[in-house]
Amino acid sequence: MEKEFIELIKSHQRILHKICNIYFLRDPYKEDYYQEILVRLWKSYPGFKNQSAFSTWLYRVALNTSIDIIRKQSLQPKHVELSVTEYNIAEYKNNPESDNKDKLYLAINLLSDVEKAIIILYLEDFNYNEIAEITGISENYAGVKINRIKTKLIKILNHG
Amino acid sequence: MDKNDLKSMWQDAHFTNCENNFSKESLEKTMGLKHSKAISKSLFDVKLKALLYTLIFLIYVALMLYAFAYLKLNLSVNSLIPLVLAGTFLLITTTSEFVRLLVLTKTADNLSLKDSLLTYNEKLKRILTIDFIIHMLFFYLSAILIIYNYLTDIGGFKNLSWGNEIIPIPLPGILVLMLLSVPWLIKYQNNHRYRKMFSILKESVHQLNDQSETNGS
Repeated sequence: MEKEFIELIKSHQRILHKICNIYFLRDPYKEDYYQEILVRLWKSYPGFKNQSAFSTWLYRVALNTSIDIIRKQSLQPKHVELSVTEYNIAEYKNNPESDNKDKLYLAINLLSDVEKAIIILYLEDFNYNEIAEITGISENYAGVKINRIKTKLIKILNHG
Repeated sequence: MDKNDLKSMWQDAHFTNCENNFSKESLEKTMGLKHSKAISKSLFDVKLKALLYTLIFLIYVALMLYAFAYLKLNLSVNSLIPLVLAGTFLLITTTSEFVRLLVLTKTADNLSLKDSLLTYNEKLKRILTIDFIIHMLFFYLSAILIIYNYLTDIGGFKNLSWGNEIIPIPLPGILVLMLLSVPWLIKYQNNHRYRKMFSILKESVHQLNDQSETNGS
């Protein structure tokens, strides 16, 4: 099981980097939370029953873990929480050196934890059915939600 | 910028993989851990605090048993009150650290996002309810014991007062009122301490509820 898990993680490791960048972009503990997601994936792995694709399961556990870490930070005052005001989109927008990746990540960082989860699934080409399965909402509502988040993101990207 | 540009922007941004790759060894090492370094450290701090408070509380209980059961020490009720208050304080601090530890270690990762949020919310509520019930049982039983001692006049309870000039109510009455209010004060303190967590959970669940959409629009 260990060998199988290592192989699966190695082939899906980019997903974890993306999730970490979305949830902990400028967090000084980013690397640590990345490790925590891996630990929790391994602990949850016996619960993966091949009923869904590995990537679907991986997103579900990794997103739950990220949201859980952020939630528990409210009880850990020593952790440094960076305010969203520190992510100055306008500054990046006017800086020709900052690329689209930075701008997109910074814009996504202004979304709520749930919105971040939904938008990353959309950007990663999951269909509404899969998004509904991972988030626990209906397919129709997933569509509505994605549309709203996209509008919000465009607004942030265009206006800073 | 158009809505459809977002996906192409995302794909372009991740066309090249600039992140470090895992080595098999580092993966195996991580899998052997209970938690990551920072999380282990913060959990260790909470565990240490809980252990320390438990130890102090146990020493206190042992000293009380030694004094009253073994040495048969006969203190006046007036002298007993500070000891009871100290024990109460130690009990509250110990249970509060255990509650924090339970809250920090509970997870629900294998469910959908919405179910995970709802499950965690339920777990959190259950922990706080059990904590409240334990305190209620302990303090209400203590109050009943004081009333019983007062009625049967054990240990001169009936004569106990703060000098009628200061408060014209018998001291046991004040003590009973204090004991009855402690569980509610702890409940208030817990609600305050976990307020942010409850609000994050509520907001996240609200965002995943279809109902919120129809209400919001």
